[in-house]
Amino acid sequence: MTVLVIAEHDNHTLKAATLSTIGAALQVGDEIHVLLAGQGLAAVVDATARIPGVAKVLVAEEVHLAHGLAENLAPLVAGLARRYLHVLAPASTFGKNLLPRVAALIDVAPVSDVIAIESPDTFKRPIYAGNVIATVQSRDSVKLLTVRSTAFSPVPVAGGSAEVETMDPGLDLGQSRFVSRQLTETSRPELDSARVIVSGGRGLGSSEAFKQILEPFADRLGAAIGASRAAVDAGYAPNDCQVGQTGKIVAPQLYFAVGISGAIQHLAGMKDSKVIVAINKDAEAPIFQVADYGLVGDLFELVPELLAQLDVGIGA
Amino acid sequence: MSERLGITEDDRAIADAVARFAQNELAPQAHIVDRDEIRTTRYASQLAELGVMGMNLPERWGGIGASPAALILSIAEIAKACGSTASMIGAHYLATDSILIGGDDMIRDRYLPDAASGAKLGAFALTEPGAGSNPAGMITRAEREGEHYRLRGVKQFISNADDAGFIVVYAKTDPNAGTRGISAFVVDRHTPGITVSAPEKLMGIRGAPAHEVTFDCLVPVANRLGEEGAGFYTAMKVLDNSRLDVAATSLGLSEAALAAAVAWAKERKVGGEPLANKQGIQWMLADMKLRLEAAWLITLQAAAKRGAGEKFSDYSAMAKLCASEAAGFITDTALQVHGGYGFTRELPLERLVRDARILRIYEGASEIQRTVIARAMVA
Amino acid sequence: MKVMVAVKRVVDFNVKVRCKADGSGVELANVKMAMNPFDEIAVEEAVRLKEAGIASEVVAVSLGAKPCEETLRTALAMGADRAILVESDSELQPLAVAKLLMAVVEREAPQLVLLGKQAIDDDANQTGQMLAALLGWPQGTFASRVELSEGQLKVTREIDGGLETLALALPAIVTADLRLNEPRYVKLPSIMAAKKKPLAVITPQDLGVDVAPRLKQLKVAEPAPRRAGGQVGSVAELVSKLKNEAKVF
Ligand SMILES: Cc1cc2nc3c(=O)[nH]c(=O)nc-3n(C[C@H](O)[C@H](O)[C@H](O)COP(=O)(O)OP(=O)(O)OC[C@H]3O[C@@H](n4cnc5c(N)ncnc54)[C@H](O)[C@@H]3O)c2cc1C
Repeated sequence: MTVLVIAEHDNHTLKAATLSTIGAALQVGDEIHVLLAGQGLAAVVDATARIPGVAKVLVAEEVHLAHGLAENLAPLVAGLARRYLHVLAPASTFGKNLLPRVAALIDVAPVSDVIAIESPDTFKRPIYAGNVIATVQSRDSVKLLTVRSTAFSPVPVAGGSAEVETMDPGLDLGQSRFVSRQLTETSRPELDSARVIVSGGRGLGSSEAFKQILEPFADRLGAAIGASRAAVDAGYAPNDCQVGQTGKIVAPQLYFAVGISGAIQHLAGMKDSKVIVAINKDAEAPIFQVADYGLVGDLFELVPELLAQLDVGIGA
Repeated sequence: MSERLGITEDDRAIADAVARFAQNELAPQAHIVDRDEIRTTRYASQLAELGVMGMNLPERWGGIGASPAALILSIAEIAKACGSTASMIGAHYLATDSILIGGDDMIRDRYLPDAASGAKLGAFALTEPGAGSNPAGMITRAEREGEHYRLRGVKQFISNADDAGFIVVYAKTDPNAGTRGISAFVVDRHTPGITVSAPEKLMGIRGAPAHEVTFDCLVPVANRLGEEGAGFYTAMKVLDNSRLDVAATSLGLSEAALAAAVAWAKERKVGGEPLANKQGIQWMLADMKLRLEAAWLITLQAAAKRGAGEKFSDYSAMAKLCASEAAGFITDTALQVHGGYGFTRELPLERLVRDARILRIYEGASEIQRTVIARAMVA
Repeated sequence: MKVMVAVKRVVDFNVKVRCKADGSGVELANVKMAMNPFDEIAVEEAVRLKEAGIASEVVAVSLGAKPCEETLRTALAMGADRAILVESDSELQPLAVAKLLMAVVEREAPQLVLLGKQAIDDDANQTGQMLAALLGWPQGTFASRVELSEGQLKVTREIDGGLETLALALPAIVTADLRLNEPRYVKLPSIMAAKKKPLAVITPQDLGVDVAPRLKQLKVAEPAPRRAGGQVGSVAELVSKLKNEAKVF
């Protein structure tokens, strides 16, 4: 069974999410075709052709495809989609912008944000902001899915040799025009909306330690900085960093509690975080009772070591 | 959501709109308002823009045509977020209700639209150092001097007085006529001869300052509300309304305390299991819920009577008594569920306990409410 | 220019939903409902366009059961001029909603349709894109800024890692992201006035649209609860677990 994967790329390199999407595609099919639509794609076509499991790379190149405009891209994908049982795209802003438009063109109900593939027609996806996991079955002849890259392992980037096929890039519908793109400098996100939060407690011991230990780590992760009340009261961190009952209530994907003992007021402010990591020298600290991963030891050694071992950023 | 008896979709829509403002703007500041004694009169213009400051008034004078139930739900939502703010609004309503009930259209036109728009805040001055539970014992005098009255006396615990644009003052025009010698006046706050003292140091509702106010000033005859001698009757009618506002404030504080207690009981583990698993705690929660719902029902019953134009003094008194006593019990029990943490100023429980305490005292203490209820039975 | 806004009635975002014991769905009895927050941003944007003299009329549309009228009343209280309810008691999935909206668009002929980027119940993030496809209109999804100049709509979009600006020909579809604006507090007098604004009720049959669901929800479940804290022995083990087990990197 052949699966079509819509690649996300910037005309030069493949986005990491595409590799996970191919990983997901391999769960429903054995032959993967990847569509690369854009302009000046030589390098990315080469790279894609080397991905093991990819049988064919479909290449559509034209200036009107350069910026991934959904208006021009959707008819192209819709024309291909009928030939496959599954069409997958990453559940990124790119995939979410494009795939529903394709789906409506071929009268199919797409499935967004797939986190597990139960069978070729049955999928799991989070609803209600992840508080509920729904299992849904698609009854359409073609299944259109956007998949969460965090839920599927990426495929390796070398070892394969796919056939490359050039296709008709279609017309510029002229309905939309790309004006500009500004990629955010990794300025620190707001506590309320951050995907990752690094919080420090009394264990940091000084505002200098917040700067020297916590900030580089947070910046590496594209994380917001939080603090326990004890750290705020001691003047290590400003007031608006306080996480807890009387501070901000947060629920990021990933929460690092560094040198925080875990008073119940603090726990009330962060316990809904998806994954909690605690680093503390006191093995009995209550924070370890809510942490998914606890690391006992000296934060002044462990945090820099952690920073050194992170080879993949999280922010993007 | 299933509603309590007598609440319409419109009432709910209004309350939801107020709740949203209250949760976004008031709740995050409530502990600072309490800690630093920040005057909640600062919210008056925002609340007026929303439509809350004139909510007790007919549309003609800037009101919104809300039902008594909508008014209660809205005040409860505000109290849930910040007790001081609810109290500040209550004092404003005491003043504007006095004008609405006691005055004629001329004086209503002069004061009420400004009161609804937030241009002028109201204060209500009935209590005196020697006349609280027994307002008939007041000694403040208003003596006719041509086209004016000379107002002389001291009023005690007057909420909003310093920031008010006008103060409704009750005074004796005839010291020998008992309650029939009392008249009501609208006095502009900045009339020469009015001295507002520094606010009292309060246990709770610390963002709703109450002042001693000394009057030795002239008030135009045109600022008298109704006839000479009609003031006491006006005051009693005003209190019928305002006791429902106090009941609503009680309900809001109780809702906040109970919600905190339930959340804490589910969260806090003692001996390896949540507090909520312990029957002793469950019974506390059940008793709180029971008293809260009972208080809601009698308050809404009183509101329905008010809406129907029936006499409701006794129901208003029962609602205030029931809800304010329930608020005392519920805030205290909710604090108990929180243990030592409830006693810290880190959590809002101790503030709720302190804020709720006044509700059994002002606008007729609990003892006085019983008198009002009984009088309706034996009179 | 006429602007249409689509609004959905959803479980209030403060409510923590629970699954029914048999997993057949989410418990909706006695749950507080409200307008989808992203739709509220869309309504706010439409009303601002009207206040700026750009929109001549704002029409709010909702699709679903009778109580959606309350949601429409909220849109009217925020400043929409009139409302249309496409009343249906059956489950309406995004594709059906897009088809119904297309039929309403054909009747109303707006130049701009604003929607929220997604509803906070099903989190599908599809309806706007599908409506655009069905109408053959351009789409500005996840908008954080909308500007009309010389017959073109400039839409700044929140994309992964930054912002992108597109110029769209009108008529167009825009879906609102969080930072597009901050919706106003609805004033109490507006709530009362909204009761007098027109609200028309039509049915999917009137529009000739088949709304049969395409996806079958087999079951719902709450995510596995947090495990008791496990300790890791080293930084290397932590990094590997975060990558391979928690999959957060
Ligand atoms: C924060 C605050 C704000 C206030 N705001 C205002 C305001 O804006 N305007 C205003 O006019 N007033 C205001 N008041 C005054 C308030 O209404 C009075 O304090 C209240 O009516 C009680 O009067 P009192 O303090 O003189 O107590 P007292 O009358 O001295 O009563 C003392 C106690 O004796 C009880 N008691 C009295 N008589 C009887 C009886 N016959 N039988 C049984 N028990 C009895 C009372 O219930 C009470 O428990 C405010 C008070 C406070 C503390």
